[in-house]
Amino acid sequence: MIDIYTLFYHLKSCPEYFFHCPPLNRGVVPHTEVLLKDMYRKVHGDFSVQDAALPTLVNLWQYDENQLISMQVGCWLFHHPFFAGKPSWVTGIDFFLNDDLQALSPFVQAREWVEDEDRAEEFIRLALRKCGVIPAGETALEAADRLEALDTLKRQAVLRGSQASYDRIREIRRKMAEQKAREASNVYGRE
Amino acid sequence: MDAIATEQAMETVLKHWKDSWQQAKQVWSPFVKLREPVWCAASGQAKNEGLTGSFAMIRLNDHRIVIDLEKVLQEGVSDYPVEILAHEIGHHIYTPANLHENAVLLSRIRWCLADIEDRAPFVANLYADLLINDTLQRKKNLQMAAVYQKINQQGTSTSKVWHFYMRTFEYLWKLDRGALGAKPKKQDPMIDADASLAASLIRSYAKNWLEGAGRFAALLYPYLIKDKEYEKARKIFTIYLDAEYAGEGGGMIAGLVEIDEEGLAGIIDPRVEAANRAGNKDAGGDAFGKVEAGGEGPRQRYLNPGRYIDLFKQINPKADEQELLNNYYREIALPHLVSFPLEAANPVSLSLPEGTESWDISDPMDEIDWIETAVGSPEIFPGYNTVKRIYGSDIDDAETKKPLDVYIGIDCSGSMGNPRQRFSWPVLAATVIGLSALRAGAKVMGCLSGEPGSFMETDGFRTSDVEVLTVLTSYLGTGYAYGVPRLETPFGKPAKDKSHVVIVTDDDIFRMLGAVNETTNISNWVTMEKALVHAGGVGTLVLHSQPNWHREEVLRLKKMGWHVYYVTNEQQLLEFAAEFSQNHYSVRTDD
Amino acid sequence: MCMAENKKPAIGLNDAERFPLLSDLSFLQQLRQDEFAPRYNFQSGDRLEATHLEKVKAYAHIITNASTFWQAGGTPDWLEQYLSWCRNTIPFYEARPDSFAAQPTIGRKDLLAAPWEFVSREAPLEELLVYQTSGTTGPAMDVLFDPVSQACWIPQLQSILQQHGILLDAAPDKVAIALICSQQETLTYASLSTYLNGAGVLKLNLNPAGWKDPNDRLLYLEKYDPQVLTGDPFAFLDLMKLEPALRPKVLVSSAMKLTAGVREKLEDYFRCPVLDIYSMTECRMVACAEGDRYRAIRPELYLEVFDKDKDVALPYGERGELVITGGNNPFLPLIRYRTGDFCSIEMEQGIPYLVGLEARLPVPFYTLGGELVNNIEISRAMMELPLAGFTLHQDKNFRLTFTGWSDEAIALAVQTALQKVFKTGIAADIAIHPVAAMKEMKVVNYTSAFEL
Repeated sequence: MIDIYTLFYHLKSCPEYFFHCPPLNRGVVPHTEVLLKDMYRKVHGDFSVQDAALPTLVNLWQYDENQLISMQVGCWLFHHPFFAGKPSWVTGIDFFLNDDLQALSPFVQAREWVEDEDRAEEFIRLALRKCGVIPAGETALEAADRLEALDTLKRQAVLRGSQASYDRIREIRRKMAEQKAREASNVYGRE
Repeated sequence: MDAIATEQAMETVLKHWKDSWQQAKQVWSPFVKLREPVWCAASGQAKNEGLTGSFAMIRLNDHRIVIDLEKVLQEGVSDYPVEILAHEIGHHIYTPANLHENAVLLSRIRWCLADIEDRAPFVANLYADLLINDTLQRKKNLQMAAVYQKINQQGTSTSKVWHFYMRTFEYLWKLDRGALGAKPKKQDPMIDADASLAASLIRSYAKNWLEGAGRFAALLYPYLIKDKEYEKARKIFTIYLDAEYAGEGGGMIAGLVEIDEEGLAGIIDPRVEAANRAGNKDAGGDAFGKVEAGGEGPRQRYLNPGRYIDLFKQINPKADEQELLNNYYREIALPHLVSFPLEAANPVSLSLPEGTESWDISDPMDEIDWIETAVGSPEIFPGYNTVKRIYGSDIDDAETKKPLDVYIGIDCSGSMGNPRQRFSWPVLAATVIGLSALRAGAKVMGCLSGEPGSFMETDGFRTSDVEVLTVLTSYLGTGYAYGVPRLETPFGKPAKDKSHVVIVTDDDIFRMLGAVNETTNISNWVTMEKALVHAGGVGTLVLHSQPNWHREEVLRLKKMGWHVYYVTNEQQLLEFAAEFSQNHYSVRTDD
Repeated sequence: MCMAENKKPAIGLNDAERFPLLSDLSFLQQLRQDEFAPRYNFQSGDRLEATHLEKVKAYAHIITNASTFWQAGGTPDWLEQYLSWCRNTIPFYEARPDSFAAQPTIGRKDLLAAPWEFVSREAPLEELLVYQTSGTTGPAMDVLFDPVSQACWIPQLQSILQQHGILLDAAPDKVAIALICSQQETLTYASLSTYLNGAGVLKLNLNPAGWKDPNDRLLYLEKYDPQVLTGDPFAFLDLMKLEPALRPKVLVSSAMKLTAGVREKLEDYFRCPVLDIYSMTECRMVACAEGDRYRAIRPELYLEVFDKDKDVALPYGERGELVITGGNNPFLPLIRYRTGDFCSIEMEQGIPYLVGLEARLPVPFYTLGGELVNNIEISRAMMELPLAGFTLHQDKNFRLTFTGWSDEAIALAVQTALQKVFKTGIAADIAIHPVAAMKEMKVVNYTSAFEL
């Protein structure tokens, strides 16, 4: 068991090194890949494990810089001793770093995962859920609700909806004001 | 509880709260200087202090806090004196802190509340409370959450604003949904999304809180737009509203007439901001509640006068409308006035002895008139019975040096706009001339006239800008032109002090000139000619017209000595006024 | 003094924009420039485009051919689909339950609070038009509509005329309809109807102040001899006093109830049928009087009767508040809208009839000089004041009793307004109460000791 705050402080202390993102060069092992493999071995609990036993690295070239740095921040998170020697979590972590962060990357800048309180919490909770861990002191239901409340994708969807309806109302009201100023406010047939 | 028990409880609470005052100040800083709150043992007493609804309030003009202890007991928050007192102190030293920032806060919020500007004080109070309480809870470790829990136990509401607000605190303080006592029947994802944005806004703008005000108002706007929702919100928030009228009784606040560009830049809906950040460029641009009002007046940089008055009345409900209107035109006129006569340049020699006055220790020693002093008393005590001689100029320069007074007559007939509802160029021009003249030490007579019908004028030539402005900013809207017979009042006889005459009117003045005064049977042409002679100064007719119209009549006026200044649009009125003031009232050191 | 700065911007349309489908507007010019023409103070057009006209025609087809609206005990077949359309496209109805029976009623105050919430997401905003009610029965209200629902008043009228065997001659050189007003001030215009092939539609005010010569009123009307005259009973009585030599096919009275006495007088004089129509701004014509009841004319309106205070639908035959669902206005689709008018409903062969409809009885007020005062005039005058509502009563001695609800001290302004409408010398008792003290929703109420 681990509580959110412990991981929160750990994440906050993410070293600048994890924000570096040298351009990908053919023939050179990408910075992200180095960090990933290092982290996976730590989680695996066995530093001598072969690459083949680690999750297959997807082609990092398909990711943009923000996504790559976000993944590196993830590497820092999973470096916390709590995750060490938990080989069964590797698949979940792999899913988090690739699929989840890819979906979130357009909405969140990598640094926000560390600097913005709500985003940091979202990052940690999402990561824990992928590992099947419920934070200490919370029930499964509570944990799910907290994560939902911070869910960036969901919030974005809601905002798109409300924004569309506000735009529409503003348009109607503008039209109404315009019409009232205009002669069309009294087309014939009105008593 | 019986009466004695109640009284005892009250005494205990009073003591507890008084004892907590120092600690509450310490929360912010050991250097906080504030007078102890006004403690009211009964709500009736609190009401006399202007406190109703809530258990606390602040007044910025006399830096006071008022606490209603009866209500404190009722709401079950008597165990939180430090929290509540620190909160009230927060209004004094953090936000809105003073009358000026309070005014700017309201003005910025109003820009985001199209058609519901009346709700600005409510929004401002909610915003300030969020900022203060978040600081107290997270940075000062006070139990603000517990205070909310206590109060919310007294009753809940279906108000969406309330749910949004409590949810925002839950985000800020990482609390479970409903932890503060606001548990909606159905979870509303929109409230979650908005509260999450509000929380991040409060964190980001904790320091530069004025910059976040527009965003907060924009966020709240859709919740307040319907009367029913607003009423519901007010009902549940009544107990929390402690700073809505914080500015009441404060004096005039300068700088609110000009449109606050920084404020305009802050009219941003955080929803749009969030959506745009995600590259969703079609999310629309403007905040939903943005007020679509343009600037008015010179370079369209100023608020509409009606909006200015509304804003100020909101800041200080006791503000006097006429005073506000005077201030409106005064502030806009200010950059166009002649500069203050900094040094009275008077190169003429002072050689005519005019008498003596007492010599003071601070006067140069050589100014003492020893003979006159000795004549007064044989014993000399410098500074007590010493006198000095004073001199006058040896040339009679009253005419050449003393600025002439000015008479300003303004056509205020039917189609002229009301300067209270829309910015008025003629009124600004008159204000520029009037205030420039007053600055230079001249006297001013103002006259509004829309005749036949009505007129309004100062009681002769005055030195008070308030009297002059009050006439100039009034409105008649009668008749068709400036009534020439008005000139009879100051210039029926030769004026004692010479005066310039400025009349602002349009073509219709020629119809007026062609008429005959019914009572005196004197032609207005005659009155016009005589007035200029009697005034003894420069006469200018500022004519909204074309030079090729009414040529004959204009020639006749010019022969009388009248200058005719044509304007074809209203802005030229200001150019005329600035020019006129410069020519007649500016201090020139080279003459 | 006149300075350009203070004039309000006037964004005008030209005639071609007002009548996109009519190529020949010479008749319009003739109506406007006629030597006897009034000083028209307004220009108006139907703004119908080809697609609009098709819709109006389709609507005309439906309304003239519907033989049954719904069967007693059942509901119209369009109702379910309409409800789901509302729930899917109209913000106000979004959270509504999906069965019609479970729908709550709404009222004027909902429309007042947020008219934009009733606009269907499918409605193109470039077609939005606004009409501000004069507030004869409540505070002024913005009603939104589009050119199609607006133009449909003519097919609605035609369907009524058809019931009475009257045919409108839709010829481009004839005046089809004249709206007759008799007010101190109202908009007047000459216009054409695209749907009626360019036939003329006039709105005239009998007040001589709007004419070059008082006699022109007769000369102009007689010259163009409109086929249909519409107006309220007050206006018709004023028209009759002028003794015009007109041959209208029909008189259509609306806006307030036509009493039997006035109807007889008018029928005697104009020697044509006088129809009494029940209509309202929110959804135009609803029913037409037949004997002592009103026959519904709109198959796309579902009519119900509800308890006055509770949201309970009453069975046929029971008296209550008339509640309307439906309509063809995409900017204001109604679901169970309380009309504020009371009646019971009888079904007869699939057609609903409104029985004992008590809607806007004309209330006669008189000046001391015995001149009739139209209560529209009073409403109009009061609109200028910050009033949440008011009641006005006139007793046999002409004395007025005014009760108003306002949070401002406006007694003096009310006094002035009443003196203006009633000319000088009328006695008036005025009481102003705070808005919070106002109990009833129906906020304008006229009563008089006189009868028309």
